[in-house]
Amino acid sequence: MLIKKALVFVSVCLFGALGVAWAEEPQPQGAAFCVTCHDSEDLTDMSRSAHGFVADKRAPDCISCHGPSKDHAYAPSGVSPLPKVDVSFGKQFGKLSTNEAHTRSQACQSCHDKDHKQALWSGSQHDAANVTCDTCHQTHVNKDKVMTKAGQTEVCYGCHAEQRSQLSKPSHHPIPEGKMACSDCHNTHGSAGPKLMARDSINDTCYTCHAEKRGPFLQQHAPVAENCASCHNAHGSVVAGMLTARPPVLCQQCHTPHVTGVVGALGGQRGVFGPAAAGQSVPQITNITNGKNVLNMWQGRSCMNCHTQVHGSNSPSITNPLMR
Amino acid sequence: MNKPISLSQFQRSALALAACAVFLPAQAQSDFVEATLSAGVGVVNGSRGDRGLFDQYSGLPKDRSVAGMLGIDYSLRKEDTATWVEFHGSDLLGDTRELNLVWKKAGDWKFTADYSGLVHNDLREVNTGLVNPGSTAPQVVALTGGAGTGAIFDLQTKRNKVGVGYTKIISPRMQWAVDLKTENKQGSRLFGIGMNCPSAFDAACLGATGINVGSATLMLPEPIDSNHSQIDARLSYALEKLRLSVGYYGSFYRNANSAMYPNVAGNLYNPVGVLFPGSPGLLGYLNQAVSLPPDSQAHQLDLTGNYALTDKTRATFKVAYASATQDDDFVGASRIGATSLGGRVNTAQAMFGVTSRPIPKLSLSADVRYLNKEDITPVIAYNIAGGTPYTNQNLSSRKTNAKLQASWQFNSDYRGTLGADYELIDRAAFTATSAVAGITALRDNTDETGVQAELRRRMSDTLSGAISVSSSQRRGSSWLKDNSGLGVSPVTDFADPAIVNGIFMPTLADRQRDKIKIYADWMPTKDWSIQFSAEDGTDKYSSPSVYGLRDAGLNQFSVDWSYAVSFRLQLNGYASTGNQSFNQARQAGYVMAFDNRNSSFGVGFAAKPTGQLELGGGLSYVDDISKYAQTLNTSADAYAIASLAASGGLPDIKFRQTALKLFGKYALDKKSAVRVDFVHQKSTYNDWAWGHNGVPYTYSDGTTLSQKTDQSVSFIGVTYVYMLP
Repeated sequence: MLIKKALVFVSVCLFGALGVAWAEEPQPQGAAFCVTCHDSEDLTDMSRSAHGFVADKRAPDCISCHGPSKDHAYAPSGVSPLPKVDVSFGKQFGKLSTNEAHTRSQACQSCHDKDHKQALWSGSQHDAANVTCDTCHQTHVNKDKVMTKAGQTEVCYGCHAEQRSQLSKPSHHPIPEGKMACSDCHNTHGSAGPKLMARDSINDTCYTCHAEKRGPFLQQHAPVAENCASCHNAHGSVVAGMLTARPPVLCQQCHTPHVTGVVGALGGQRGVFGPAAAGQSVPQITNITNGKNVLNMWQGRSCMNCHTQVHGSNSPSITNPLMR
Repeated sequence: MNKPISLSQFQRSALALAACAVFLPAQAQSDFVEATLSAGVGVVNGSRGDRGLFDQYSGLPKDRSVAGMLGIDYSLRKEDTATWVEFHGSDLLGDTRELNLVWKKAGDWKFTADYSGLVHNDLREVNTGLVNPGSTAPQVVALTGGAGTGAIFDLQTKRNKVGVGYTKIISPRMQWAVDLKTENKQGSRLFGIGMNCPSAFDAACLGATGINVGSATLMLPEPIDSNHSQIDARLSYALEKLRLSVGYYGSFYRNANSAMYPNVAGNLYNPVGVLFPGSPGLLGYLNQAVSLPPDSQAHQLDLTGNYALTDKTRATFKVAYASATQDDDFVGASRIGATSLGGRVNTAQAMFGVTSRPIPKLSLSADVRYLNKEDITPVIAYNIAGGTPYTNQNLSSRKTNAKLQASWQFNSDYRGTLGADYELIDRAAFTATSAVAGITALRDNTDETGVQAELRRRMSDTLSGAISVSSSQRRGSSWLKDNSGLGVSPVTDFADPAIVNGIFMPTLADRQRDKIKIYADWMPTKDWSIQFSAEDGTDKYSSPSVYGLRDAGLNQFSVDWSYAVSFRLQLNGYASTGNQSFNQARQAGYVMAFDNRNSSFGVGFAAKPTGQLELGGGLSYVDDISKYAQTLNTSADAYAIASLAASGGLPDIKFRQTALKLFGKYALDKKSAVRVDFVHQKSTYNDWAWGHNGVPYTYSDGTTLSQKTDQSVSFIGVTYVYMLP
């Protein structure tokens, strides 16, 4: 009985002493020390994010990204301003970070550069423009805004306001509606294609959703095969089909017109112009006027009222181009 | 003899053990589950015409005002096995439903599956007498009662996509990933045929004047029923300095509809609205089969990666080889008996880049890209015109791009960058046995050289900015004119009226491109953030003719801001205005000055006034005006002069839209909440392509497309959100 009591007493004293000893230890090791100051009141909850999934042995801690930061962590009390951490993140040149862009991106790349989608990051347009990972990504959150379709678009608009204006026009990809995101067409982390296209060319990227335009066709339309952007503005337009300009104006940038209707006019409509007599010089549509008239030229689908196969056709049996 | 331990003794022992436990490391162990279910109903207020713009991608059936809403979010994280399952479903009762599943074991494998639906509704409403519209055999029946007396037909396409993916981390150095996607696309979209008689190849098809209709345009919806499947597989390997991956991409497009077979008989409207029988020649053309997109496939193999040459220098590279083929059977017989094209385009690509920071202040980067597209489709004389057979055309090309850039950090506040880039496109020789249609001249090669300079400055701890300028010049090889038959030959006589009055393609013409961009970022306090950007650019084209596209310009000014009023209220907004313009002319006709001005602004807020209430919303406004100002070319004829005078030219096209979006979410208790969403959208869009002054553009069978100029829609939805146990 006495021995048992003694054992209990010794246990309490021993562990209590150790506890006191631990309490006197000035710094917990590593990231544990960071949270003694930066607790849940200071940082947003990220426990449900990939970085906060502690069961993942690859998950980083504070030091993985911000560095050991001894000057910051062990600065004597009362020092002001407090020395910054080794690597801080925030706006470019902004108040929150004085680290070089390369240094900030390297903190993330030290883990994420094995991702094949980031293989071409170095020297890419965003890297060359000093756009860093933290420019677009939020780390200390549960849901990184840029990883959702609607949120990603808002982040991209921060630098790409021109595209926001274009996407507000009536003919557009369903990006404002949240059904598509910028990353459906662009690999923002680097690409072998132009304009950070997801695939190696603008056309190959478009074909991932519009494969019916790939061909090759028997009747080819050369600018179609060369570059979809010759005629389309994929970010949006007031012209149907996201065309850069309205037909026939667009078509007449390359083609010599073979129709009447040499000026843009919505004339020739029934009730606007009366029938003509021979020799009259006023604009006229008569029953001998052919189909290549000002009406069909400027309204409906314009040139495509007849040349409907503007992307190419596999029909071998017609002499008139891109009509069947 | 041992006595049993008394309760008091047990309690003291327990206390001791508890004391020990306090100082021992805790055991982390719990599964973490989060699941919410949301169900609700939404109501749309607006007529069919009012919903043209709103329903473009809404997925709501046009004739329904009420829609059910169902969504689910599920997340299970098991710390002990390091596995994580996330499932998300939205709009499950609608046609634009999305389902995503991610199931992964951290550091080991990941499985994904997703389904998505997307509906696109044409803005316009079709009124037609067509029988079987949207099928492969539409029958044209003229509306004897005139335009607007037919039946409504909705042009709509639906996409349904299923995807699965699997990633396996084979070892710390090696990873395998494969993604499979398949998408069905069905529906119909704006399409049609037209023919004008007589043609250069058929003088007799006109028929008798005043008795027959000799020309027609018909709206025949393109029937869409296709599948596109894609596979992306990649094996990645990482060494200390090298990152390497080998990938395969396959794309398979299959179209269930090889052609559309219109049935056109009977009467058609002539351009002044009188019904006459179509001439036999015209009807012969209108009844020809219309070839639809053929089946095709493409495969690509690539080797991609990067290598750390030193700790300051890294190289990136990609080599790829792709082959795209199309060998679908022709619809209808070909003149020479061939039954398919045998189309094949092989593309080889190599890209190599280097970035280096040899000293802390200096960064350098350079890259070169070469792409060789070889069109080896057999060239066969499929067509004959005026007794001369002519072939299809090969579109091979070789493209070389090079870029060089150097940045110098002058001090902590200034950074300068200089860059140069080069692009050469060699379009290969024009297929000599093919014919050019409607083109003044072509060019084999174009090359463009550009320079850029940028200066970035940090004015203070809270203000930074950058200014960049760029300039590039494009030139090309000799112009090649159409031989008015087969092939092309060099332009030697620049006084030739066909050259002087011709149109030279802006994608081939000489071009001077200049651009300036300014950007500033200001954080006056930790709660305020303001970004400003402005850019201005011009393209000037130069060719042997004064006609065609002469120049184009754009400018854009925008301000974005955000303000955290408190931890309960954040505000944001933007304002932007921009202008795009071009000048274009055609011989004996118009000189057009096109101008598009787009202005928009938006304000938004996110608020949490109490612990239970969450509010958010935004108001946006867009004002877009396109002006088509015309004057007459000095060679304009009397018809052109009279047309412009009588019609006044082309009216402005205006698009204005105001959208108000609000939501409120109130937590009824710890597990449930109610969310209310409200959207009001008011638009004005007066596109004269389909009607002007109350007169619709009318196809030869009386079909019309209409679009309400002023549209106003409201939507309100109420959703109950429940957190599942």
